[in-house]
Amino acid sequence: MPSPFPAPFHSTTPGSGTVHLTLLPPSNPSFSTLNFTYPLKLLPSRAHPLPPLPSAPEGRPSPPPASSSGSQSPSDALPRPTSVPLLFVLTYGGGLLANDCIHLSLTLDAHTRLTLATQGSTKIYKAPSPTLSSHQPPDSNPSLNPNSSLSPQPSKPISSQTLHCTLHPHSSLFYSPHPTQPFATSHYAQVQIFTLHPGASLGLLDWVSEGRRARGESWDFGGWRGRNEVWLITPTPSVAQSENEPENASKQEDKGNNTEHKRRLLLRDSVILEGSGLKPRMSPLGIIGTLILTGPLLAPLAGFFISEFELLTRIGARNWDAPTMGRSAVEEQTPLIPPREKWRLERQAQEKADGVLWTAARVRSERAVVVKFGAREVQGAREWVGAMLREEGSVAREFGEGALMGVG
Amino acid sequence: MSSDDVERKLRDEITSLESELLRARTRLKAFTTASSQEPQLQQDPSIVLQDRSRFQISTAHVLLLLSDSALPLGSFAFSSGLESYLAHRPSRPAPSILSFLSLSLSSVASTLLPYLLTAFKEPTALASLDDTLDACTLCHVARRASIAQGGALFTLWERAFRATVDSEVPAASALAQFARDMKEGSGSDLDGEVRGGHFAPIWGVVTLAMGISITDSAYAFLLNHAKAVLSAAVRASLVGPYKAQSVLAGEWLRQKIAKCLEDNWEIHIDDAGQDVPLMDIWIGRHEKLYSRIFNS
Repeated sequence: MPSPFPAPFHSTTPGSGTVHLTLLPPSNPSFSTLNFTYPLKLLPSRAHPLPPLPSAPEGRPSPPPASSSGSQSPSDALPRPTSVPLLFVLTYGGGLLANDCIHLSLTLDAHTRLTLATQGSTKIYKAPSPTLSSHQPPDSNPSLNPNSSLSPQPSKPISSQTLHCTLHPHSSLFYSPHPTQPFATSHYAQVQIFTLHPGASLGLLDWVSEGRRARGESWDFGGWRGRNEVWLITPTPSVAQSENEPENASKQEDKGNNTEHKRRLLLRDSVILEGSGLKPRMSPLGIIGTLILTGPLLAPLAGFFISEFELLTRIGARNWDAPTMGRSAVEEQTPLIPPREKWRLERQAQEKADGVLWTAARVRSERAVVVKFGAREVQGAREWVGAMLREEGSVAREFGEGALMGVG
Repeated sequence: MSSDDVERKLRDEITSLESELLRARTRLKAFTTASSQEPQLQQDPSIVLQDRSRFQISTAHVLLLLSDSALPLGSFAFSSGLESYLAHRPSRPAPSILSFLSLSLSSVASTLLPYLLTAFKEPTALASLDDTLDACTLCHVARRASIAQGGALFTLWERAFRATVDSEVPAASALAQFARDMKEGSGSDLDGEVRGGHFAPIWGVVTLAMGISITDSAYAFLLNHAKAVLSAAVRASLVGPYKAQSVLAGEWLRQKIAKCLEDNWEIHIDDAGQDVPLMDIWIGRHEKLYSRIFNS
């Protein structure tokens, strides 16, 4: 497919993008790299200004380079970016055709913050019959899946999206795209890998809908695979291996500037929706999703999900106090209950009305909170996630309104 | 599977025919010889030895032990989401145990079987496999159930089974290494918090150590899961005990387990994933049930 772009966009693989966010002194975020090729488009939008911390003095020195990841400075002395850039990830036509492969690589320098968003649901268009497909998915993309074969049926033309993201110390990313919407008979595979250095924070929303309900589609796609991985980098001061050879001077020298990094899988969220009988497996849901929250900046939101989950009414319990507790009943009691309580009752009534089912749990020694949710319809899920994020408030405050565009 | 079945049936038939023949011969011998010589027959060491060798079914013996519902793994305490599933379903039309069992087996096979099989093939990688599986088990209720049963099986291995196995067997030394890792905390949680291993990889290595084939190991794991779910269904008054046994004995379950094995046999652990996302939600919401008779 001919590229509409002039050179230098011809130079790289179609659908690939590279983003590098850095901090310029004193603490202004700036994209030192922002490249993309058709059909991927990256569109920076209005940044969300961050007010300086009350206690923070002006004229802060530039943050230490990423390599000094070992130094854990106290949080009140952390450089804080002046703003949070908002970057839209778009594809031409609002979705992916069969064989479209998007590969996005993202690097956030230490202490930067980025909000990643979409402008609408990513549609996965249906695959043409295999005989019509002009070319196979490019195997030339080595980072698509380093470990194993991504597609169980390599003969089928699939659309794919991969995201590799490195978050240097104390950087933060919130990625809340609209749900992907796979059309009937489409095939899609998505791999999102996040590597977090100490102090980094990640908020990731990943959701998929049943397709085009208006056209009667309900989990009629051929396959949808999504894999999200969060890896932790922990600097381990390299142990003196020269115990037996104390005279080895070169090793001693190496040791000084060479802190080893240990890479460990914090969590992997992998969902496979394919094969026959998908609809009965998903019924009665029209959308399912996962929200992953980890790191200090997302800790308040993570705690909020956990406490709201704990406060859910017991399933199967008779509510003796308010047997017909709905919106109207809540309204009547308004003067009696505090605002948060009122909001909670309304939200829980809405959950019931929209068939929202959700669960939240701390995983991996409480390093992360994973929220799994589903709803009868896309709108119900969007409103639910939106209600939770807005009520808690830290996402809008720390990442800007752009972070809430994908949700209700 | 079918050729294996035929072979197994034939072997069973031969074993039973042989034992019948032996019994007939013994009776004949007893009949033809004088009644005073009977004690001599019992004391003849060659006959006794020969008799026993015909009944050596060590693999089946171990398999029968490991698929015993009385095995102290505490499996009876877990309904694998059935109880929560029932609470989330409308009571009409009546929920079917077959549809839940089918979802549950698919889910268990797609998330756990690759770990069981990999542990069986690479027992020395047990600690890292276990950590990866822990990173992939995002439903905390399911994780708790997995660790409880994995820990129980590991204890059972240490206290009962290990003595029956040659300690030089690679799987046995891998389990010993795993025990040391667990004690030191190096193979445990991110913060060095000590925990037991997950059920599926431990099952893989323990069955390997005890000389069971990889197919039998995986089949028994899924059959045990089906038994636990059906047992929970009986106790939750969803089905009666005879219906549960008829499902266990029936062709449907055999085909279902075979399909689960077939679908996940070649799957690399990095490609394993949840194919019934609702299962995680149901199991995760088990804690929100007003009344519970199970732990998951």
